[in-house]
Amino acid sequence: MTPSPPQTATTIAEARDLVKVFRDFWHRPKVRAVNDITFEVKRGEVFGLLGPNGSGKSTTIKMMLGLLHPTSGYLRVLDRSPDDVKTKARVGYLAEESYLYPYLTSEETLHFFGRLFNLNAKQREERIDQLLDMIGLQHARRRVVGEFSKGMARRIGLAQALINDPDLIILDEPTSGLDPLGCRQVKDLIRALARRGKTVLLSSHLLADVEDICDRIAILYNGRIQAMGSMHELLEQRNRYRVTLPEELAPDQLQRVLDEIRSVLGAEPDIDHPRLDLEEFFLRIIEKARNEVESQSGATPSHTLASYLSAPPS
Amino acid sequence: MNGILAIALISVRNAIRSKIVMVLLAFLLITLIGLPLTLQGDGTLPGHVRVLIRYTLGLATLILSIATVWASCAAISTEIRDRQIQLVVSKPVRASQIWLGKWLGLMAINVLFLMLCFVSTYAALRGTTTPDRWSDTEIEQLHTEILVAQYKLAPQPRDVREEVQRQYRAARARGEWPEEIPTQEVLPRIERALRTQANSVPAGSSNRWVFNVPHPPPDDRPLILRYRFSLSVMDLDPVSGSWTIGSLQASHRQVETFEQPPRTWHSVAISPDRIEDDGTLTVEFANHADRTVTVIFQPDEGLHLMVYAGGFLMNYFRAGLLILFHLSFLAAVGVTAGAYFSIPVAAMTSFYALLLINAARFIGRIAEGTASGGHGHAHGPHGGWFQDAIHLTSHLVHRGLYAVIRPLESANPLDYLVVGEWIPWTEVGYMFGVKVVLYSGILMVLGAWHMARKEVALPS
Ligand SMILES: Nc1ncnc2c1ncn2[C@@H]1O[C@H](COP(=O)(O)OP(=O)(O)OP(=O)(O)O)[C@@H](O)[C@H]1O
Ligand SMILES: [Mg+2]
Repeated sequence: MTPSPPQTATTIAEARDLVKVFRDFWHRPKVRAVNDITFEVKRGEVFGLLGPNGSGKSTTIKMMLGLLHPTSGYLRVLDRSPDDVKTKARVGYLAEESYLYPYLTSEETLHFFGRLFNLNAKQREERIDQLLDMIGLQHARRRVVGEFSKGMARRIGLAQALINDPDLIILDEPTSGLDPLGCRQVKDLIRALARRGKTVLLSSHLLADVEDICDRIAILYNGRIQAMGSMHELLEQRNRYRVTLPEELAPDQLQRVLDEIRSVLGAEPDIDHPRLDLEEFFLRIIEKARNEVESQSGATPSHTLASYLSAPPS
Repeated sequence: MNGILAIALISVRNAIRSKIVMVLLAFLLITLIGLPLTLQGDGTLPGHVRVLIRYTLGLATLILSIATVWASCAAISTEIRDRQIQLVVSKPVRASQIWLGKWLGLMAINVLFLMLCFVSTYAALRGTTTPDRWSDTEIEQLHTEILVAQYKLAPQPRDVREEVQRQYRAARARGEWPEEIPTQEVLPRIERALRTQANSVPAGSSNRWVFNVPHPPPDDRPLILRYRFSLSVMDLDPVSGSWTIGSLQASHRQVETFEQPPRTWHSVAISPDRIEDDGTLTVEFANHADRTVTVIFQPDEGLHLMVYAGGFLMNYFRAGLLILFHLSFLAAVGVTAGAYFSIPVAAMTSFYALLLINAARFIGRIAEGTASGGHGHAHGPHGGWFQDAIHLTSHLVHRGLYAVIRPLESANPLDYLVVGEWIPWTEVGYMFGVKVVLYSGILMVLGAWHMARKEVALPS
């Protein structure tokens, strides 16, 4: 096998043997938060860092943004060092918590970050309008973010991460603090962004989230990658099967099918009724209620992706 | 540019939201409104105006300085503490832009409040110097002595070199100085004695000084002779004397007789046509005291001539600029300290730095002192090199420190205003170069360099 050349055309971010050691005041090593990890994020994919609390997800992400410096190892983002302003211009970041200025309104907050990306007034106006629609906070555009609920602040955080129409979107626990509706909406949004060819790197400890949206995942534990691969590769059990029978099956027909299975297996198969998962059930109930009354407070998203979010050049 | 502006706006809002800054600014308003209404001075109009400028503006700028140091220390350090800096740094802005944005925001506030201070003090000045409260002569005096910009001339130094040599030879001949005392120690003593003598007027005699006036004022602007004398006796009783102004041959010379106490400032207005064609002005003081008392003018400050150079408002403006430049330096110190340390530590560091700068002259003297006194051999063979090493280190530290803070040493601009002294544009330009461009620039490089290296996701 010949070693493959570095695939810069399709590699958006790459980490090799990355290590981060936190030190105490006297410079003595205290925590090895990231311990020799290697991974690659490819263009257009949704890559998930999955792991329990304290496994090093946020630390990895902060190194990719230049907020922490690796102790050792190789790290490139968009073919440059993470500290490079040219890299930062093309990255969107949602932090683990919403570190916003509490006295700015939604609108002012987004203008502030838009200015940091050097967007002109007209671009900012347009994008902010669409983003507020998208995250469902159009009605709260003149309220200060300090009085927002956690989920509302999170939505503003998400909007500021998208204001520069980034090529790489880094989301640290994007669904934390969001109601199930918001979770679903954010997940739909991430899928929609991926369809537009954006690359998304996200972290989570919520398995359901990751399962729904990620193309590939790395499972972190104790600062090390324990497993990595596409969702399909990791979860498919090639030697087991599930059979779904049509809904209008009569009881006697079912009986005949089961008898047949028993005779082939020579044993009793597992049988139960399929259930909705709770998320789906909850969404159905809310959807029904929403059709009856228009909500007055909280977030009322428009279900449309902001139209300025472009496909990146291929 | 867009980014710097955004950060500057945030820095303004942060400062205005700070409780400490708000309390200080409330004090500022109380000062600006309350002091002019309550201050009395010595009962004279010039005294009233001096107190107004020195105390109202002085206190206002002090408050503004403290508020500036605090707000600037908070500017970056609170954002590191509250983590907003993590979002800012993840955007395409350089550390120097963050620094500059913070500093510019603070400067915008300073410009605004300094303008408020200067405008309101000027209004108080105009409002309290009305003819219904003061006599015409007092108002006249105010406008010729304080509400103007005059430059200060010292009298021509008398050439005493020959006289020093003559006295030295005579003293040696008389054997007054023992042979061990070297010549270079004797000469300055004789010279100092001679200079004091040249500024002394014994009872019944007179003494003469000549001023060179390179730029005579317009005809309607009198020159002001300011003087302060002490006496050879311990009392403070007034002394009678007279000034004769203009060349002694001139037919129209001006004579002013008076009876005045020592140790306070006095002044005489002189018409510009007393100046000779060669640009000199001669003044002669006669001591008419009826007791044996010598009048002594202090050699460097005791006697000078104030010459009209321009209006008060422009000078007032230049004083404001000098204060603004100082505030800009303070803001730079604070922003940089806040990039390195958390607020309390940053504030302590900044105030300590300012203390050092105010002690510049003292540190300079220590530096000189350690240079000459560094070679004591009286400490025995073992302590010797160790003592020397300590002395040398102390000397180098003080020298280095003095070299850094010396350019920042400057007179208080309000000291110029209270005597109506002209603030040269060169001084304004120099201070702009030193405090705004050079020192704020160096501080910006230090602050931005640290921020670019620092891991902002770690606490300070
Ligand atoms: N500034 C810091 N100083 C010292 N240790 C730190 C610091 N930040 C993180 N750590 C440690 O590094 C390890 C990884 O932390 P990290 O925040 O990356 O975890 P995480 O996977 O994001 O967890 P969570 O799911 O709770 O967000 C933890 O043990 C944590 O205590
Ligand atoms: Mg985390």
